Amino acid sequence: MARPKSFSTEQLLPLALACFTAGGYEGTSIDDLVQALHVHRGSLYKEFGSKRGLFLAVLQDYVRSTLPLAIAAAVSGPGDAFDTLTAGSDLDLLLIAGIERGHTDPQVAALVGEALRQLDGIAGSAPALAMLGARLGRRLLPTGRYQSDTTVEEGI
Amino acid sequence: MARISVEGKDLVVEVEGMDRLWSLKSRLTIPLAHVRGATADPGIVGDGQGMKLGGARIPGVIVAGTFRQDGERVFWDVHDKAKAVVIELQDDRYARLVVEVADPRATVELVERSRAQS
Repeated sequence: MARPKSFSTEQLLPLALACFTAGGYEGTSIDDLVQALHVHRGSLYKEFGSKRGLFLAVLQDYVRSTLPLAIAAAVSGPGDAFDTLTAGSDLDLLLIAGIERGHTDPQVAALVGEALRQLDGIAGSAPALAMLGARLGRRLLPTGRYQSDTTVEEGI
Repeated sequence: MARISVEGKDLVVEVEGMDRLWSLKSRLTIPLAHVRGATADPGIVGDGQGMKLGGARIPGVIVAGTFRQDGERVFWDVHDKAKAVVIELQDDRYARLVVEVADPRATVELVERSRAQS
């Protein structure tokens, strides 16, 4: 018999989110994930099928649960909601998804589009995509993971 | 080393050269509906393979054939762990395949794309 499952998917997603946010998609190995999630490699494959499968689960949970909460908190807080969101790490996974996977993976592109529509609602007159490119590009470029000629638009 | 291709609605894994001898397999045909995904994963070789059911294992040199680990049957064909790709299956005789391919990134993309379209 296969090893019994000793975790819930819901518990793993925030840990995997932290991993992908810290290392990017390509930069995060299965070794990194196995270590951070404290699961057996076989269990990870059985649950999610592949690294892409796990990333899609993380991104979907982020777009449908984490992001709406972050937006709600930013809107109800002081100052400009978009400034608040782009100042912190709340949108990092969205940018990583768009830049690294959006142009090759239609399912990632669809989820990124869903997130951008949520952000359009609070970005005022300028499209959220343009504001993300300008502000978050400045946030992530210093990490050295992305070249300065990579734009968010290419990833969508 | 194995060559992976898609023929119609099947994923075809052709074991190349002498590895056919060690792994006791020359070709695996798996319905794409049984394929859950593919991942480049050099680290999986270091986790061990469990019990050998048929094939060859010389640590650091070759792992080829059918192994049972944690109650799951896994097909292996790896010399160079840097090029190992894991193909996760369901409803199949194997729980997963761990095979060395020439271009892990291209193989992962082929499998994931073919799954999405099947």
